[in-house]
Amino acid sequence: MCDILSSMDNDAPDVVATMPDNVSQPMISMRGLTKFFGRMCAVNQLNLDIPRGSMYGFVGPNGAGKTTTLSMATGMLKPDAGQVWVTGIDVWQNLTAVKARIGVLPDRLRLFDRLSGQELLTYTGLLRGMDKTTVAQRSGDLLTALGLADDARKAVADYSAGMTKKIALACAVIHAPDVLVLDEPFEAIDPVSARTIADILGGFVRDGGTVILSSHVMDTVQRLCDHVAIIAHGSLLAAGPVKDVAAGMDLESRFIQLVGGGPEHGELTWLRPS
Amino acid sequence: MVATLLSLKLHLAVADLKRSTVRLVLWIVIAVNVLFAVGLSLVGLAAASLAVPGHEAQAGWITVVCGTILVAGWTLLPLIFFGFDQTLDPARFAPFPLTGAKLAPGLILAGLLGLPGLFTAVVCLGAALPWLGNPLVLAVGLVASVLGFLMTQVCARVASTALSGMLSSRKAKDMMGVIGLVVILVLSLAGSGISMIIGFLTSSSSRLANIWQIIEDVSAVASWTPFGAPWALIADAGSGQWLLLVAHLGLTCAYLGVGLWAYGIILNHALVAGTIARSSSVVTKDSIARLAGLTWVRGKLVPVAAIAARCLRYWRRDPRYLGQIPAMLFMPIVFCGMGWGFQFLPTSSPEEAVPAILVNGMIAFGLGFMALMAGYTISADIAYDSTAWWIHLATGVKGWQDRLGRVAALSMIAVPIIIIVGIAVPWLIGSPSKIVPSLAAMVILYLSALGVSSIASALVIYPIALPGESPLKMKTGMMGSQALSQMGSMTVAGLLALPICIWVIFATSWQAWLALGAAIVVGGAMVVAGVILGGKIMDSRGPTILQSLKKNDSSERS
Repeated sequence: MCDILSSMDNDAPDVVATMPDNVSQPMISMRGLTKFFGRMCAVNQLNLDIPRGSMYGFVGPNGAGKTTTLSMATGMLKPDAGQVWVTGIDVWQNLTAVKARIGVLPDRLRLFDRLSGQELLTYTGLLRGMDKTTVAQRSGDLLTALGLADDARKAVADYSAGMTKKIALACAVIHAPDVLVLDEPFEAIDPVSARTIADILGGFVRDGGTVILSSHVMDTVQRLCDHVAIIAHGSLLAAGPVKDVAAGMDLESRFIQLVGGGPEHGELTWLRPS
Repeated sequence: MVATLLSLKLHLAVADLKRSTVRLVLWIVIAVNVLFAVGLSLVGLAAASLAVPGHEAQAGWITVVCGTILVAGWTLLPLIFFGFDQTLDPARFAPFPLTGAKLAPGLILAGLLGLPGLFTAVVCLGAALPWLGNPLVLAVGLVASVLGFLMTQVCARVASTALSGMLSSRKAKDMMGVIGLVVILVLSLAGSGISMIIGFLTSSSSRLANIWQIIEDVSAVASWTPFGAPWALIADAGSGQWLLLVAHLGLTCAYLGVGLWAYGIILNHALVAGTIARSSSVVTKDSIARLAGLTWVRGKLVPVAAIAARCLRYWRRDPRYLGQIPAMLFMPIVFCGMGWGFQFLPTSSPEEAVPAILVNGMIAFGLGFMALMAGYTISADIAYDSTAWWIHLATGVKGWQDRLGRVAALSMIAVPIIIIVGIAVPWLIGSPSKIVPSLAAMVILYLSALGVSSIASALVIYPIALPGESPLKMKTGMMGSQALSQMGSMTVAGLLALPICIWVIFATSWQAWLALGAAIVVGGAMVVAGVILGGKIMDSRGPTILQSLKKNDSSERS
């Protein structure tokens, strides 16, 4: 994974609010994205470019607006203002065309869990309009690659949290999209499965695919991603190659510096085993 | 500990009401209504007993029987509506160093701070009301009603906590949901049967005496059970049997003590066994691939077939879907049963007989309503999907494909039922000539409801039992928006179907065949229009629909 890291260092994206041109077209461009929930501003005037072929980390504290931003970029949540382009196509003008090119792994949404893992994969593939033989072949491959082959016939409702995440990831990739938008793909995943997923994503990026993933764990982002964006209170704090954003620190320290640590806490002098 | 638990429950209840003004208003409206109804019946009860002196014994028997039903209801209800009031779920106290015995009294009393508990308390106090004229019996009655109320709460807690321990697996929960539905259906049928029997018995004075004998026997037996013992105190005091009263009092206290002790033990188990047992069911075949794999399913129809296959899978595996079948059959059974039963009412002269038009009218209404309900069923579909529906949004499925897949799946289940019922009922009541007309009317009602619901359900998403919950679980806010959507779409669907229904009534036998053909063609057109229009609405409202689904989901999970 390190070779990807270094190779991506050069093409730093510009985060300035210019319209994306068609020459050095980024995979995803967001301009002035804004979303309110009632009076609460979830995402505020967000501008971000995801370069083609990057593994892009999207980090921020809880409630920072990560899920909201990703939902708007994938055509699942209508922005109140601003625009998103995927490969130069305006998402909200050409929903069908854009949806065919992206694979989505949402966080905290249910799955049709009375279906077996195998059925859920078939279902997703067929909804995408793929032909039946390709669906059958790819779902077999995916179940094997993700170590779910033995549980393929069990209802997803009976899966563990990690298995559920893996089958959802399989659903996101079955149509071989250009870009993967993954919300918390490593949450509740055991180290072995995490390595498997990381390898699959790494291979996808090596072959020219683009991945944007959100995470709470800075360590994961620093290890896997070549680019990172830090968001807090709905606004972008920093974005660019991991090395530039980290500015000589490790990503976690830099993150806390940017986001601001918790309120000053007094010494808990009584907190020792009695 | 009791005070802590009570204040916790109170805080939770208040916080729940504060969350939305709609909820608060709804709560107050329901509370006022129920209090009014309860108050009215209590006043009636008091008036009745005061007006008839010399009937103390009868009043006592009735108190015991009604009280027994109340306590038994509290015991059985959690078995049917599992997951019913889990505000203070014992499993949530597992991290704290508490014993079951310490928690038990507080958890039992906390029931008083819920809506059902509050109303039950009022009803219990009402049991003493008929004795306003006799201070001694009134005093006994007040004590008895407190003991009786405690009994309802103890029984309910013991039953629900013991059950939730047994129902830790998903499959067991699904089973219980289906059993609950069957029980409700049977009870509702038994209810109408019993009222017919009572009507029959009360039609002459010798039969009336029989009823009193039955009530006396039932109350005599019930007074020794945990359900009836507290209420027997009132009956004993009323009829001056003080020795019996002491025996019943001792028994009541013993039952309560044993219940409390048992609850403590069950709680101890619940506090340790916090982990959920996993049952795994193995699906033999990929049902989605099988239906979509049919050779004639091609191109844009592939997602439609996949959606239909998925819905059919859910009809088999999700108790919430199965629960719609009793709802579909309920009205025809009640109305056809009543219409059919009318013929057998004892009459002294032919003029007294119920007119045929009323009999036929009730049966026709039952059948028509069933068809309408069957078509309306589809409007709960997206709400049942809950947030799993995101996959339809993310994969760019077209609205018409979503709509059509669901219409196809429901029709594979509802159409056979409609045909069978439409042929069987006229045939059974001895008028086979009505088979074609009733089929024509049912077809047009079903199809128009299907078309209207395909549009309405893309517009209104109402809160409903979430995946994995009991099909019987009621949601706050469900009654309002669901009733509105249901009344609206069923009225529109009924009006659209009205011309053909009226034609059918006056049709001669060959015209009835023509009407059946027209019903299929016109109804088919309505479904096509519903699928296209509903699909268009869904295409433009997709993200909004997902947001509503998320809201309904998270408000329950937080």
